[in-house]
Amino acid sequence: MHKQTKLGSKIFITAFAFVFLATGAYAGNRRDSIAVNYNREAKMTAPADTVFVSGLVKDAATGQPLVGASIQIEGYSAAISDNKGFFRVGVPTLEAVLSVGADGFQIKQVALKGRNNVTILLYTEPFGSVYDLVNLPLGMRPANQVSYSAVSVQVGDGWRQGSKASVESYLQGKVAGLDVKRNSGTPGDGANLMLRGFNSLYATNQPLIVVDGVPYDNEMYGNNLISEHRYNPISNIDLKDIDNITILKSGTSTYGTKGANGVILITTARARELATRIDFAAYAGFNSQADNLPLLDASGYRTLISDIMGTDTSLTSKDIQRMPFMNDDPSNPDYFRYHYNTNWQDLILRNSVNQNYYLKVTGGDNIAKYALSLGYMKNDGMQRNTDLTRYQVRFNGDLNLSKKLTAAINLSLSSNQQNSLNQGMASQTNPLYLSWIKPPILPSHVVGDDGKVSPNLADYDILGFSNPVSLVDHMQGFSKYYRFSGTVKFAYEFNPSLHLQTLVGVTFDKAQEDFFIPQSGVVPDTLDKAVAYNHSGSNLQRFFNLYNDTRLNYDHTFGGAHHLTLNLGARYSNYESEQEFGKGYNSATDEFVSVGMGVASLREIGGAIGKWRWMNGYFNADYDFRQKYFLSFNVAADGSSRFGTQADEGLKISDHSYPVMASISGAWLMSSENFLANAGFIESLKLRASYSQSGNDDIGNYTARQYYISQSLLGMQGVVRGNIGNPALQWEDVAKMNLGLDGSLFNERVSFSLDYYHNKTTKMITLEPINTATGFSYLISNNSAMQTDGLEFSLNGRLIGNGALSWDMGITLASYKNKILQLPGDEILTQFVDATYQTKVGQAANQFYGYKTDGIYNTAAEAAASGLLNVRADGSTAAFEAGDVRFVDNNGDGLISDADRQVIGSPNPKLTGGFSNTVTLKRWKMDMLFTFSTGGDLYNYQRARLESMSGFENQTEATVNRWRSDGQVTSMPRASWGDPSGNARFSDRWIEDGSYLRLRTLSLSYQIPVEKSALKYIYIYGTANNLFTFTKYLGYDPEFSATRSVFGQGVDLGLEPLGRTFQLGLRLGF
Amino acid sequence: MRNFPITILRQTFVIAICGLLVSSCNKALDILPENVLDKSHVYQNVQDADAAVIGIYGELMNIAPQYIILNELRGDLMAPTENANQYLKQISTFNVNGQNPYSDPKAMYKIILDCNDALLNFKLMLRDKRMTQADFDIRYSAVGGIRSWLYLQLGIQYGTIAYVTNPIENIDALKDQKNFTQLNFDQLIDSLVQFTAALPAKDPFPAGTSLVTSVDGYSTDKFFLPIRCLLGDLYLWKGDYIQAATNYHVMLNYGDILYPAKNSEQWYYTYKIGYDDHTRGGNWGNIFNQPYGERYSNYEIMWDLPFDKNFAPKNPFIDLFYNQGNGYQLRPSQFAINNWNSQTRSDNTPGDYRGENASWKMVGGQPVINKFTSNYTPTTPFETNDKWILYRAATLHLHYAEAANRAGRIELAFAFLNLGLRYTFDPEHLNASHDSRDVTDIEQSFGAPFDFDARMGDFPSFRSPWYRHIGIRGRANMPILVIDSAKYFDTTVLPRTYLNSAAEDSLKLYMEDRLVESGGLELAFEGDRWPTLLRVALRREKLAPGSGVRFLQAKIKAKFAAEGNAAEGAAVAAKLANKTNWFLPFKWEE
Repeated sequence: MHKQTKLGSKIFITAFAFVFLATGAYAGNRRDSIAVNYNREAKMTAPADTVFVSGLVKDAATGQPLVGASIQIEGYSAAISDNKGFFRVGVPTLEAVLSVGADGFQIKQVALKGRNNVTILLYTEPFGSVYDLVNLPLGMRPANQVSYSAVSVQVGDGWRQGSKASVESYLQGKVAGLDVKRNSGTPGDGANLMLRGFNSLYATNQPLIVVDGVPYDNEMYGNNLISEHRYNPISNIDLKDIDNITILKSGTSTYGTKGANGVILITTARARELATRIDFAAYAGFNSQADNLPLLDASGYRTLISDIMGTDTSLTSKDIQRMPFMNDDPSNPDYFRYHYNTNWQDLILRNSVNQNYYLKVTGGDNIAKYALSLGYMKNDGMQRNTDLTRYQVRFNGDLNLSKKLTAAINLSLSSNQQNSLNQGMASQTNPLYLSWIKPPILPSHVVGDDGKVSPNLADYDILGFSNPVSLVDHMQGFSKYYRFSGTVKFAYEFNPSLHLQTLVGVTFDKAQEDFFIPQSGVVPDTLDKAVAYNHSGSNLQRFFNLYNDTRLNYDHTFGGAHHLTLNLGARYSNYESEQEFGKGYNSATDEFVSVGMGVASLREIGGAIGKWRWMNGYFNADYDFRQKYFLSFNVAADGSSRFGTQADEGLKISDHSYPVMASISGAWLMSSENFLANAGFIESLKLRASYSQSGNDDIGNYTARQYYISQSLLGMQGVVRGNIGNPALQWEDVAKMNLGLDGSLFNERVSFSLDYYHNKTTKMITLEPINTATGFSYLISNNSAMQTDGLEFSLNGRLIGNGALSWDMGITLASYKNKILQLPGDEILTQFVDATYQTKVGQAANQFYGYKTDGIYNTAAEAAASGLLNVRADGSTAAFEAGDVRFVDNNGDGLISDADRQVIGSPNPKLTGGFSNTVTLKRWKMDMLFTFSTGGDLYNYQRARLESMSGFENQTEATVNRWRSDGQVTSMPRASWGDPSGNARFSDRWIEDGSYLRLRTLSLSYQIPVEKSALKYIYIYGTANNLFTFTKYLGYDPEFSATRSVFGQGVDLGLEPLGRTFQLGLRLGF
Repeated sequence: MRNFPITILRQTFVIAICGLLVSSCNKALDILPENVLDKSHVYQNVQDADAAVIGIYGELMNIAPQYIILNELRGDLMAPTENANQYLKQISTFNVNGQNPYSDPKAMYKIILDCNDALLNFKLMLRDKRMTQADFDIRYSAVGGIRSWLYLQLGIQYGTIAYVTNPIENIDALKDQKNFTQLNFDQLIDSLVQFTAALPAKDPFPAGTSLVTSVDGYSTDKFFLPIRCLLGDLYLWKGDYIQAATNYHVMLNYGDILYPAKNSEQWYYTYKIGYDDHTRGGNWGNIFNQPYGERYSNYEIMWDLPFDKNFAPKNPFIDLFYNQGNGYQLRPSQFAINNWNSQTRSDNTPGDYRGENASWKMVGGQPVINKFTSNYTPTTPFETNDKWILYRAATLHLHYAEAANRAGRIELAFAFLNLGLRYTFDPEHLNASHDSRDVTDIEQSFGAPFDFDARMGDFPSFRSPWYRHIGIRGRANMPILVIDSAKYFDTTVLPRTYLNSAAEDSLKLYMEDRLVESGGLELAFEGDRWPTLLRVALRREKLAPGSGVRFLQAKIKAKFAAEGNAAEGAAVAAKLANKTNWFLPFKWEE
């Protein structure tokens, strides 16, 4: 690293000098040679002594000759095809590469490979082609010239997707290696993104998202009051506003310590033409109710709890008979109240609707172009009284301020209002969970002794369960969030080869929550100072970011063969985040829902402030020879307020350390070699290799500093040490090696991409156990390492392609293997709800670590014969009984204890990917996307809670098969009060295969023929999401993500599932 | 025109260079936290120094349960209930494994770290004139004192420990083994004596100190450790009884300083156990159940911290002691209950005023420890206010008596334990309320640090400082513990002389046993029990190897026998035969 550091600094200085001199030398060079601009007319005249090439340009689909196609050699010569598609153009050598393009058709690079006569087939746009331009951090490049692993997704079908698709869920299954797990079915809830597995244990694993050149902060700052509620900032961007998404899997060094997890570059749509165009779309749809979990009905429940109560030694059979719900005498005043058969799930879940309106206007003139879009969306949630409403506006403008100076402006503002409910672990205030466990024998409303039903909702019951209907009706989980981002970019052209650009971006985000849990129907909570009958809360989170990126760009082709691009720039980012919350309790009535109405002495307030800065100086050099051999070099030096002043690595400047991250890559476009001139079926074949260094700066804003925290003594505020400073704390290093092969065959009918990668994280952050005599448990330090190896494959084919009918098919596959190389203490055990994960040197991180089971003891004799003793929490031991789970005594000591735990599964999937089809028939178009994930295990925590049979909670129908008598052969253990044998403990009973195959999206569109008038086109769309899923998983849905942390993957908290949705849309173009 | 781009380029160059290399960027990267305090923002003035002291005492309150559990559950007076978790049971049976949270010394070391940090920074403040010498002396001593107290606790529990005096500010200090010197218990006591004796201000804070104030209705003057008591204890552990008595003596007479007029009730009662009706006999329980700062119990109390329902930490003893919910983890041992119940008061009624309904009570048929939770009732579950008493006059009396006894002043120890000085040092033991005798040479003891004047005379009326002294047993309305003089003295001659050279030693042992017994009756559950047993055992083991082991074994066996679990008692006693098992295993790493 030290060597690289020195190298980096030298390169900087050399690069400066070089750019400076080169610019001076070529400042007079006026030749237009911007590779990407084909609309510009070629002005060059061919030198006299050139070789000439002739050829024919044809439409690939129909075989008809193309008239007026432009053929050029960059910086050298140009020609236009005649009315029979023929052309003749002068070339410097027969090694040259022709750029061929035509209006409405793709742009293609054709290597001559020694030939002097070529036939060129062009496809109509859009077409996923190896010649498509890929948006890279520092500019655009045709895909077949990119030497890094990058995937470009043209979001042409955004309109067809309806309003249910957000940016990240849209990417699901489309990019090999990008594992998108949607968090839940709650509207706007977002997804967990993992690009090529994970690179860190404690820092973020989310890829960096860059929108129009500005890093888009997609984090949440602070905790929400509404349990498991998440604000997902990226959902503020409407898919219909997006032009292109590039996923950069390697070569992210330019983003320094923000690039460790890859980069997702999003480009929003701008006006393409000067004519005014207006697009309006309206969508309306239907979200179907989630399938109910199969739970016991009233009679099944009653039998179950009498079994359970029978095992409670503190109750006699008389006590049990005296329970009001065990009474079968209709003259008993309690009879009616306890003889319902309520389906609680039906009372809170529903079918719901969604709608979306969207208007877009683009146009302009020579001086200014604009694209303005407005959107409104309302999506009802699957639980009653939940919904999400969003308003958004985006303005993208382009200004030609002078011949040399241009400006681009992006402004976007969105406002969201959401009504949500508690989910996840809030067991007494989470209506969804309560709808499962609430005894079906109880009514939702107050019932009189005579059986008459009151309009008032029932209070919590004598068994201690809240009324989920009351929560759905009266809980307030209202959140508002706004996000504004604005960027201005100025670009100045000194000459066609030298450009200077600067971009300033401002982001402001505010999220606010108003929270209230009513008294009515809800079990009171006990606080330190009082019993809390109702709760109120208010939460405010703010985020502010100021960003600047300034760079000098030099791009020139020497002698028609040597193409050099240089970039030198600096980025600066200033971040501020803030959270303030207040909680109140016991307002006079449930109508007073604000914190201020609560009892003053119980009020709680809190918050957090974070400020950090990031600076990044970068240099890039790309070189290619005859568009055949490509070399790319990137280097960046980062400064961050988060890094410790005594970091081991990095460039030291006074008392700060600046990590220097470099990457180098090379590609060989073999298909441009002469020896493949006769292999006509090969359109393009490229071998590439790259090595890139990047880092992860998510190490906490102040973790490296020694600081003090407040410690009160009664009402006096004292100050005590908050940590042991670790001034050596630094970024995590992630080195990425990538080998890839990109190919395109049969005139681009088939294309594929194959990648092998090896990512290695060193200096990984862990909590290092330290000497007890320090008074602290851990020091946050950089002392662990891990690696991920993976393979990715994608294949696209045009199975049928003629004018009227086309069928494109694509498949993506990705697989990776993670391995921990170094950890302090070799092993860490982490907890997430009831699950334990083991992360151990030599194996993959986050393995489920629990008890193995081997059926149950069907007879008392079997239990006795095992001789095993169960070690309880209080340290006492007890023998297992008939009907108990047969846990495996892993260490053979005769005791079932913590020491018997072993790896029982892994949440990391073995293979993920997608399978897509697009069929176009005349005016009809159908998209079909399947996604799948195999080999990952899930901890079905909701089933663990619904099959534990240890209390009054209602359970699943599977518990009917519980063990009840000696010798009964079943796999479901006995019911027992309080579960003294720990049958429901974290074991492989609850670990299930999470593999699935899902028809993720099916959409159909039809273009209605219209007479040429003001109305240019009408499209009708029909879209269905999550239409069906093949899985063995017993929970709601195998796709969910409770947390972004590595140590929480695969744990099913029972969040709102992803349901089926159907949507119809209409789009009008003027 | 040609110059224009070059000018811009040059500017760009300069800006770019700035952006990367110039040191101003370094400044831009220095961002100080706002929701925590950066190192550069603390220890600026005397208020910051006070904040450090307050922080340390705030943390101290969090170790209250650990302090009580380790110091009582290992002794003979407290036992785990059926509800108790396995860790509490482990502690009670001297069978602690590494995972036991109660035996984790980390919380104490965290406070020690804060002490070390404050001590170093106070010195820097003094050096840089951010604090005056007078302010420094008080705060440095306060923090140094509490650090020594914490180390004494660690020594008592773990024997050999790491003696850390460096504030471990960064990873280098953390990795430096020199900062974690290991000392055995004797070495530790020597170090602590040396350090504590050298503290510049060992007496309680003088009036006007900013730390002595009133907060949330609580006067802070008794929040802080009485350093003299600690120093006396350290000398007592060391076996330097004269020095121990000297330091205790200062505190026993500290009423003279607090009430210089020397004629008030406060003066007569503060730290002297007198015949004050508010805490005597059946009112003994008032020491615990009166609210914090109440006048009469405050004469007794030297160091206590209030648990207030409105502030963290919540009184931790309710969940540990009171039998409701998942609480009731610890209870009085049957041995302790039997001990109180088998006493006979001076009016010949059975029992002890310090037993049932004072130190413990019956709730729903279960014995519940009543100290630190005496005001709690489940009908008002959020009224959890109470006080954690760490040192009081009775503690001081018993410790002083222990030192005096070992220093050969057995009669003085007898006086403190039984009915007080005036009674004991009166050859006629008249204890008359009005006395017209000549008391010039009686009713007092002589020779520093054992001099106390308890004389009372009428005609002319004369009341010396200790005339109201009634002793530990006297206050509890307990009869005098009679010593069979014939066993130790030649009763045929005056002044009395010991029968033989062994007689004095055996009387000391006898007296010490009585002190230990009375300590059990008086100070049960307050955190004094195990240290006392351990100190006596270590002392005896040093003087006569084997006798300390037998002493400790007998105590623990008696406890288990009273529980009806003699077998386990024998097993524990077998463990105690090895002196290393008197200490907990020290948990070095997480």
